[in-house]
Amino acid sequence: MPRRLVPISDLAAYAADPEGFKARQGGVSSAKSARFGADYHDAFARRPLPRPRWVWYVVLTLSAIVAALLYHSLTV
Amino acid sequence: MNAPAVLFGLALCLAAFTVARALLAPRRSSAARAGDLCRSFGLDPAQYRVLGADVGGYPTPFSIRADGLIGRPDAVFISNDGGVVVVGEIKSRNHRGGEVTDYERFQMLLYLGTLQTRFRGQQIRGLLRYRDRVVAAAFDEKTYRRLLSLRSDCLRARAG
Repeated sequence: MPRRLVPISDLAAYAADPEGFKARQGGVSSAKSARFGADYHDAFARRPLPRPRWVWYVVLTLSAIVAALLYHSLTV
Repeated sequence: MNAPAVLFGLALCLAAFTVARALLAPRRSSAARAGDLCRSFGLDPAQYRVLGADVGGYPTPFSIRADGLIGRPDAVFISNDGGVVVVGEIKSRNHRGGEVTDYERFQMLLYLGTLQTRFRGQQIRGLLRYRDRVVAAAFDEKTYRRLLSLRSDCLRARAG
């Protein structure tokens, strides 16, 4: 008969706090902290990466062009 | 006021932003994201690559099955020469120079032990990424064996 596999998180939670693990009926943590952890993990991977520097040079150049055009249109 | 010139300038800005966003989006989803994941654990993206990650949106998780255990670490990296495997776990709390909890220590120890079984002959490292710092984890064979001996008790506790 094949041996049943034990999830690593479950075994760690049981070893750290056997009575708590039993009280949670096999849950690794409370539902609230589990939800928070899941949200954090999701945000960790999805957080925006810093934009390459050249993007800001483009934005700066275009802003300068717009400013010059505005100035020109107001003064001529 | 020269309205056509202003409109032309604004349209140019909008077009430039649209093109920049379109060009940047595909890069962020693959190589850049892997590099960001490496850096978040203090690893050099030029020396390591991501084998798999179980953080939201990452395309390929890494599952490990060994010694009667199964698990999915948050991130697994391998050095470019293949000699070093790094398992990373992300924790949502601050470390604040405090201790690693028993749960965090045991979880990492189990990942390290199972990865040693899977990647024989390679150096296995463990990193815990807290909000404020990265902490290296040490492997202890004796504790790992002790944890493995608790498998049947754990299964009984799960069954209630």
